Amino acid sequence: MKLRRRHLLLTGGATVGLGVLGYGGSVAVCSTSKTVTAKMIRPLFVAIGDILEPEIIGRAWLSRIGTRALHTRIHQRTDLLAATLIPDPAQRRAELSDVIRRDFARDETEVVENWVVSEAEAIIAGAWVS
Amino acid sequence: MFFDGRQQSGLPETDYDLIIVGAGPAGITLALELESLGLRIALLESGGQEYDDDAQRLNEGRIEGNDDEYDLQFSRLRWLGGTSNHWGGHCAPLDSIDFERSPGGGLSGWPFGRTELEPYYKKAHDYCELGAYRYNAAELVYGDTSGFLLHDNDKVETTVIRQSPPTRFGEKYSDRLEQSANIHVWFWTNVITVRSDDSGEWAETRTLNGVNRRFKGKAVVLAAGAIENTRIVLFSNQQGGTRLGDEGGLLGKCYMDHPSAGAGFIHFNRPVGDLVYWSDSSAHADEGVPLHFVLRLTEAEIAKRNLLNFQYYLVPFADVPQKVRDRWRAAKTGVTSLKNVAKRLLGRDIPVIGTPRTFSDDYCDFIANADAIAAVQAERIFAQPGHKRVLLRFESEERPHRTNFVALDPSERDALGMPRPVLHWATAEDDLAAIRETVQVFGNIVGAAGIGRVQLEDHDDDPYWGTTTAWHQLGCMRMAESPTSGVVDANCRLHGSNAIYVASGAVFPTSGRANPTLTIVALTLRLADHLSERMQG
Ligand SMILES: Cc1cc2nc3c(=O)[nH]c(=O)nc-3n(C[C@H](O)[C@H](O)[C@H](O)COP(=O)(O)OP(=O)(O)OC[C@H]3O[C@@H](n4cnc5c(N)ncnc54)[C@H](O)[C@@H]3O)c2cc1C
Repeated sequence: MKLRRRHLLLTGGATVGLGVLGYGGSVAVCSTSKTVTAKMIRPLFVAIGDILEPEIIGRAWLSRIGTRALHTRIHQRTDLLAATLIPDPAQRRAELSDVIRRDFARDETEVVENWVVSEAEAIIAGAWVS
Repeated sequence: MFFDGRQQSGLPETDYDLIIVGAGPAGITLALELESLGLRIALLESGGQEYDDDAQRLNEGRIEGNDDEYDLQFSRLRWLGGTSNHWGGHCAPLDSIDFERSPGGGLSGWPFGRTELEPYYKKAHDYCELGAYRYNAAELVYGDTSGFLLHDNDKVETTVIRQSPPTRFGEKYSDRLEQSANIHVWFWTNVITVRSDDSGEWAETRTLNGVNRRFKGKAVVLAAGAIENTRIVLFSNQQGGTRLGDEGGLLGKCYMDHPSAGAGFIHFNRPVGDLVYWSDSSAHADEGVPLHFVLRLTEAEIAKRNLLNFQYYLVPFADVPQKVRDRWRAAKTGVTSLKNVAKRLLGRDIPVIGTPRTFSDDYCDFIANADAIAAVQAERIFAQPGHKRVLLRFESEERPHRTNFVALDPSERDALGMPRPVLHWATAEDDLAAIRETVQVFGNIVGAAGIGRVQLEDHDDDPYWGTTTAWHQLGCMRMAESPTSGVVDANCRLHGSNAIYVASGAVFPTSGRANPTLTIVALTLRLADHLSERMQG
């Protein structure tokens, strides 16, 4: 009987503990990844001045795809991520301009609020307003 | 020689080798081209040598659908020279792709390729006073393409529209027609019906003062413009219980124009200097023929994406703040109200959209927006070309749709007793969607070139999307080898007739993007060759 109660307590405790740990861990990891993403993409904002109507485009695009998809898209775009690592802002801006032009050349574009924008532009504008 | 068909007597016999109905660009070209064969030719013209109200009124008819800034009465003209008395003179041949693609919807395309028309295009240049038959933009600027927005590449190119003076065919060729011994121009002579039987080809005519005549020929050529040609054959079938050209139920169907409007803007990264596209550019070909430059997608790109053929005129545009846009909208409302006021005064019908409107609604709307109308007109006159952004004004191919058609009005007749025409025309949703897609493709090209961005004009909300006519009336008697797929055959002979032919934009199976008159004249010259062989054979 005693053994069984201890067992029961142990099992219950472990379950609750694991749950708390799991949940807490997940919250921590998720919030760090958001923060990491936010920190990571900040260098992209040097290109904001080159995007026409970034606020209108950013808001419209974000409300179309949602924040989660924005994060996924950012992580899929290795060319954008690579650009974030360029320390010199002028060089980074030039690289981003090339990335955007390559999008246009590959038809990776969308019409957002009647503007024909490249996917990279939409991502940067979306991240900027988020 | 000229004759007044209203006279009862003292006129020649009405038995001819060839009867041509209508003295516009097509009819005049055909008569002059065949003159040297010595054939006896009757050129029957509804009007006289000058404008006349009563004759012009014979053009009245209804448009169901896209009647914005468009009416049947003044989109065609009824006197010697026909509609060339006020055409704009912009000319270009159709593109090869227009002949190569079938238009879909179970309809056939052109029964021959562009090479078939090449020699006739060259000759048509003389009739339309267009100089050399050259359309390569880069060659025409001697390789100095610094005024091009984009370098020609596999996706996009700059091309040329040549400017005819514009040739007023009546004025230009009147003397030759008058002096010709074997061309008889019968003025004021309206063809009501045509008939084809074993004894020959017939045209019944009537004048506004009630003189009826019957003309007989070895061939009759309808050259009265797309809508009138169609009306004559529809009425002939109705009167005679025949089905000339209508075995496939296509007579009158597949009317086409070149839908035209503002598609979007290019916003440049930095102001651009003088480019060849600006309307005040003074580019000329060697022979002094003015040139207009337009942008278009290459044929390979159009084919790859299965888009409509189109061309963009680039119109420099001043920056437009919201309050100016509001003013445009107000001006548009004001102009529509003014039109409604005029229609009411003339006793015309006004389509009811939403809540019915009264005379005072329209009148007060016009008064309330009169200042905006004045301001917008003043802006148009005084605005300096801004080079930070340009409007992309498109003229697009329109697919042949059976839902766009010309029919006889069941209740309204003209002064000659002919049913008036009703044109059912609205740009189809899929065509608008295709036009929109081309703007996005173009936006991709502009973005890839790093020169700016393209902003589409909002379909529902913006004044520039008011798709309207380019004044090109085409289709209704489409050309196809088989009588069930078209109305005329590859020689432009009306299916089911012995020798009734059509010289007109009515026979186009597809419209392409080019202004049509050069092709109408080229097809007429080709028909002249065919008739010459037939008559001499
Ligand atoms: C405002 C405007 C601008 C244009 N600009 C251009 C341009 O820039 N480029 C271009 O390529 N095209 C342009 N066009 C189109 C051009 O005018 C036509 O393509 C051309 O005139 C067609 O020639 P057609 O001989 O077939 O017909 P039409 O010119 O219409 O001539 C038909 C003739 O037939 C006569 N007729 C009619 N019914 C009868 C009857 N029952 N019996 C006897 N005679 C009859 C008429 O009186 C007329 O003289 C424009 C048209 C308009 C309205």
